[in-house]
Amino acid sequence: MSPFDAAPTQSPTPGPTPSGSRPRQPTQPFRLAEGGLIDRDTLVRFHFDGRDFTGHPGDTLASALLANGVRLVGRSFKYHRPRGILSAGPEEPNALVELRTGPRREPNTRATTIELFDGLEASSQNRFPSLRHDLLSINGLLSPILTAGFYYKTFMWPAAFWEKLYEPIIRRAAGLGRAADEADPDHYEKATAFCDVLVVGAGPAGLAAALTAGRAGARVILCEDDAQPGGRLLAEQLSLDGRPARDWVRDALAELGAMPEVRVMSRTTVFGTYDGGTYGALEHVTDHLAATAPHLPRQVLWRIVARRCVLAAGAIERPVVFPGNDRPGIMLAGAVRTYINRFGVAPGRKAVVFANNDDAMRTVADLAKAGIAVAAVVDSRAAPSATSRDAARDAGARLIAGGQVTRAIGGRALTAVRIRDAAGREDIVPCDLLAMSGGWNPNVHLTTHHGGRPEYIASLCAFVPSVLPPGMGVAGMAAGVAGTAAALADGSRAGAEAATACGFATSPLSMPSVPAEPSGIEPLWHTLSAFGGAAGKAFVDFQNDVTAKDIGLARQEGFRAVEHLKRYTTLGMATDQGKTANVNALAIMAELTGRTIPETGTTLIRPPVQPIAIGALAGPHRGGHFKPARLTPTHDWATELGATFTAAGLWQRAQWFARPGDAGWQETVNREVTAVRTAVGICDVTTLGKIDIQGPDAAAFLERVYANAWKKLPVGRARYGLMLREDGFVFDDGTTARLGDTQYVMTTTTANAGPVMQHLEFCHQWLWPDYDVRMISVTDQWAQIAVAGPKSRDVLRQIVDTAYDLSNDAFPYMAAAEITICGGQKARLFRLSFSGELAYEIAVPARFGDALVRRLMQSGAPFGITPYGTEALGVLRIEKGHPAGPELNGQTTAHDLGMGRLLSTRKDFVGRAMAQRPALTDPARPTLVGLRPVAPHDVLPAGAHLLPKGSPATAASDQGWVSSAAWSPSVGSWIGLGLLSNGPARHGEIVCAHDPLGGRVVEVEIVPPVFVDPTGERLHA
Amino acid sequence: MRITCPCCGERGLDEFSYRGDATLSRPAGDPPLPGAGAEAWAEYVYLRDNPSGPHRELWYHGAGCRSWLVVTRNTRTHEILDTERAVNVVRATRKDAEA
Amino acid sequence: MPDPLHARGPLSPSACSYDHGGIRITDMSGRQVAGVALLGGDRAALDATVRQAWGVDLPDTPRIVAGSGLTFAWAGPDQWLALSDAVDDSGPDLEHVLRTTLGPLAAVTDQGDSRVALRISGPGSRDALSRLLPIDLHPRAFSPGNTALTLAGHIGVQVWQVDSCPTYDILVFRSFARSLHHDLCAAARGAARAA
Repeated sequence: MSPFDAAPTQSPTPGPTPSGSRPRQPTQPFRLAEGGLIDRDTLVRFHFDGRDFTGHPGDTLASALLANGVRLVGRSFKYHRPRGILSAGPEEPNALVELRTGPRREPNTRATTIELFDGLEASSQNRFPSLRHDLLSINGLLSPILTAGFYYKTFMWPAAFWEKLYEPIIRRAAGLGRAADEADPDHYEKATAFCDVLVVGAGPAGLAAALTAGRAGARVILCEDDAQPGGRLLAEQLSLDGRPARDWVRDALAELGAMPEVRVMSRTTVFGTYDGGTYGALEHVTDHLAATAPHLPRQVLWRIVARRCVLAAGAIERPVVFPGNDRPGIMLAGAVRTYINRFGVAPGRKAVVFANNDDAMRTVADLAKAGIAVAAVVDSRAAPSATSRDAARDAGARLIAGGQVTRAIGGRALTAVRIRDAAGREDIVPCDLLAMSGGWNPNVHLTTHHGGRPEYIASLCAFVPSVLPPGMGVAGMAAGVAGTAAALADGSRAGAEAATACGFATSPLSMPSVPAEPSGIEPLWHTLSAFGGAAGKAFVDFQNDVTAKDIGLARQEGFRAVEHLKRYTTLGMATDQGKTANVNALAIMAELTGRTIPETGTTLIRPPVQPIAIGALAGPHRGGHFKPARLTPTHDWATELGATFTAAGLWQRAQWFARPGDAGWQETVNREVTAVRTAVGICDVTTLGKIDIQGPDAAAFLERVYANAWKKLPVGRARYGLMLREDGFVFDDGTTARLGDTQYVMTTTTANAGPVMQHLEFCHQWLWPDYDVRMISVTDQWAQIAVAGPKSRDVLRQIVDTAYDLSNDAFPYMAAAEITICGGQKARLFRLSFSGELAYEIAVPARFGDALVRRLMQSGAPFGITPYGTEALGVLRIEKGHPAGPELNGQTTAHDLGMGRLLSTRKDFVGRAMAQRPALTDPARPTLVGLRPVAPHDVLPAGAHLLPKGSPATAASDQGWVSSAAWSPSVGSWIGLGLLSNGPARHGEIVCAHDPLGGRVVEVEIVPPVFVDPTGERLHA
Repeated sequence: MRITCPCCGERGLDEFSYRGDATLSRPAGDPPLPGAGAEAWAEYVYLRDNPSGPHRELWYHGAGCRSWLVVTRNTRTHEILDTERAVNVVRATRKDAEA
Repeated sequence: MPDPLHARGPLSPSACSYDHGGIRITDMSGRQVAGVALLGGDRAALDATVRQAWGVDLPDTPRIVAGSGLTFAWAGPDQWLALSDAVDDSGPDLEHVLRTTLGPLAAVTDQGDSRVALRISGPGSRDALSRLLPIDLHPRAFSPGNTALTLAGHIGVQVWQVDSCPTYDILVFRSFARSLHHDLCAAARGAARAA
């Protein structure tokens, strides 16, 4: 009786077909007649390299390809070797495909972890023009130059050739998949979860840990990489209490599901251990669906904060390093069992099993049970165990004790293996499947992210965790505890320990009876033939095409430390991070250098354990939501007027208000500037930081944080304040008004609102804690609108309640008052000016900001009121020589900005001592000047360097720079502010503004920085 | 990394900002100047040790209660050994100095 | 006498209401809010004055306590937010009332326009909020009366639990209200999906 549903009618790996036609395959010729956790009643259609296939729900792409007899899945990175499927899990180094198409195309996706969905499209990568006929496999012939270190040695000279010639060729030839060209249409989320006990891995140990902790009442999160929890229990022929292991898994999951404090997260990879019991995890929410439904994220990036963690991540099987060990058809022994038992797939029809341990002998039995012929069992141990002898006998297979597979034979698929027995006799055994096992590597990755190095246990031929991150325990095979019964007991122990540490009373799990599982092993890392040239390449790192010979080369050239070995050969540096490669590599290096494995050591493993897409790390913070937007109270009004907005930190501010008929933004800005200079304009200045400061010591506190004097400021007046950092450089500036005996309101620049608050709290809580003063942000409390221009008083008169006298005598420049407007509405009025015109800032509680701006527009219409944006604001302040962001850049001093006289000599203040350093007051420092092109219409580029006329454009002759520049409609010329060495002494001199980026050189005259109304008549009008 | 704010409880690193060494004290800044105490000032503003092991540091819980904190952190392991409100630390220090 | 100015919130009522999958999000702005911070260091006197005026003890831990006519939310050491019971700005000016009552014992600052209150309620609201806030909202860690100052994504918020429905109020600086509302609705959709 055939074990197969149907006999194949054609070669399992079909030849190339004309494009456009998709011939139908016979239905899954390698699907076993029974078994597996798949839904055989439902067919799932998928396409691989343009061909149509079917599989079943529960399949991975890898299992479905194998069911259809497809074994050639990709080409290797460097040599373009044909590659198949090595594993059945996330460690897969070979079967990497491009999944999906168009903007969702994702390269380097492991076929072994892709859940099959209807309509899935995948294609092989790194082949040209087709997988079977890859022209670049000639790289294999060029391999003498592509060995380890070839980048360093081969393309040394000339340097220009690198970029233009070598690199494009190498990039075409070597490499993996292609990323999508378009923006990712899916969305990603981020979230935080908290628990008492995080259990990583839902195999026997993880399930036992979760059950034990969950029953105790602890909050448990159980994360499982796979879609189906169960781990090896799903992959083995195993009975627990006489029932199939999967029944035990089902019962355990049902019990966990019924516990309100337990959360089982499948398809969730815990990828990193961070400080303080924080773990990174990626949940694949819709990666297994044909299309992402609206509102469903593709993935969620979880930050899990756990008081305790039980790592039960199992182990990964090791390949054996021998010539040709990468041929399609060579598979890890455990993976063979997974395909047979979990997926109901025959990975071949005639098998050889090659191993150094008893665990792999299960494969012999499972193959035989599935009706797959076992031609030979090659046990490298000189004295094979009873387990090996029994397995071979029961399977009717020839046992080669003390034997080795010396090479694999075949091109695009395995056709035979050459075997050598203990006596050195060689034989060729035809087969299409080789199940190999060199033992198991515990998944220690999450234990090493804090720098812990695993410890080598010779009896296990494996590294196990040693120093653990705080709060972490390890259970089951991840700790080197082999066998289901032991894993269950160890998991329960670890779960109990974790829950107990969180204060819960636990009781041990009652253990099911499990048949004995022998696990004897003797080391075998590579065959004797692995270094020989004739037998072909013996791969250590499949994904990065690193061979045993490359390790020999590294040793020969002195790269013997494992970290050097890694970098020289690129071993373990592919997307799989060498999960199937690293231990073999260091064992080989140990042998080559005559050291022990512990002496040779391991490389440091860093997060993430699995590749994480950048999109998942960005989460929802992309595009318009890259960062939150802060909107001013007049935002909707400005939007209605068609304002153009610009970002000022997080704030959205109106940049200008174009009107129909404006020829362009420059004309709009000119119009807005002119309105302020000749009539009246309004601008929302809510974004300036506002801090309410109260307390008997408020004035004394201001004395400390500002460089200038504050004690004499009377109630009802405002003053300009300059704030330094402790190193003496300018930190921020703004006006602060005294509203009452013990109440002030400070303004900061928009950019520094947060930092100034932090600084004030620092001064108050650390430097001068005895000051009786309190601060709170009122930035959002008040909608503040600048009303500027010669007609501003006339406009305000329309809305300010008549009880308040706005005359110049009653309310002079720098006056501040709490008033009422529009019939009793509380408001604050400040006579401040950034433009140099008669100007005010009026503030109302923010909810009235929208109404206020509309009322001002209405009341100001007869006076020609014009809204203006940040661009006009910038022009107005440059015309008046007021420093702003480009001048307050953290590298300028009060002296640089012409404000040295503000520094008080009679008090201590932050920055006082350091500001007086000779170097900071040196007149040769670049100091604020005005700049005016000799030809008024010459564009003055901000950022241009200032050089003496006629001197070369070199750093040595650089004397300063243009910090701000604009076209001034008031002056009728381009104007600018700059910082120039000895600047104030050079008024009248002509220098060159050199803009290498724009390729421009402009002759400019050094002038005083105030271009409009230098005597301040308008300001005080 | 997680820091236990004495006011708010345990929170993630992103709620805090780091300032630096909490064992430095600001030199006297009152007149007379200039030039007085230049070395002390240079040390206070610029010179920092790079200790291995427990280190007392100033952190700001800006996204929480806005308290400045003195955090004792093991620089080798990122273990947080202690957190106190900075204002309490400085007051206690001054009291000790007076006593 | 000119017409009075009319108030306008940052969220339009139509755009702001959300009611899907057992989660409701509403704009609860309107209560008067004032910052209260101890001055002069005489905490006992401040406590006594507050107790006498509103019958409540000022909390020293992140809690929110309701007195007669006024609720106090802890907002940092020796700092609180006082919230009027009325959900509109009727009634006497809160800042004025507090200043008059507390005198030199505390700094009082109007915060009613500074903050917008968003309420999220319904069986799925804990899960929704958990997606947005980096704090533990499990009933063992956070229950009615608890408050926290924290970050919703990149936005600073103060949150407290109102009841075990559960209902939460989230105070956010006004300029961030639309961004937070967007994020809150997205979190609610995510939670509805998970449920």
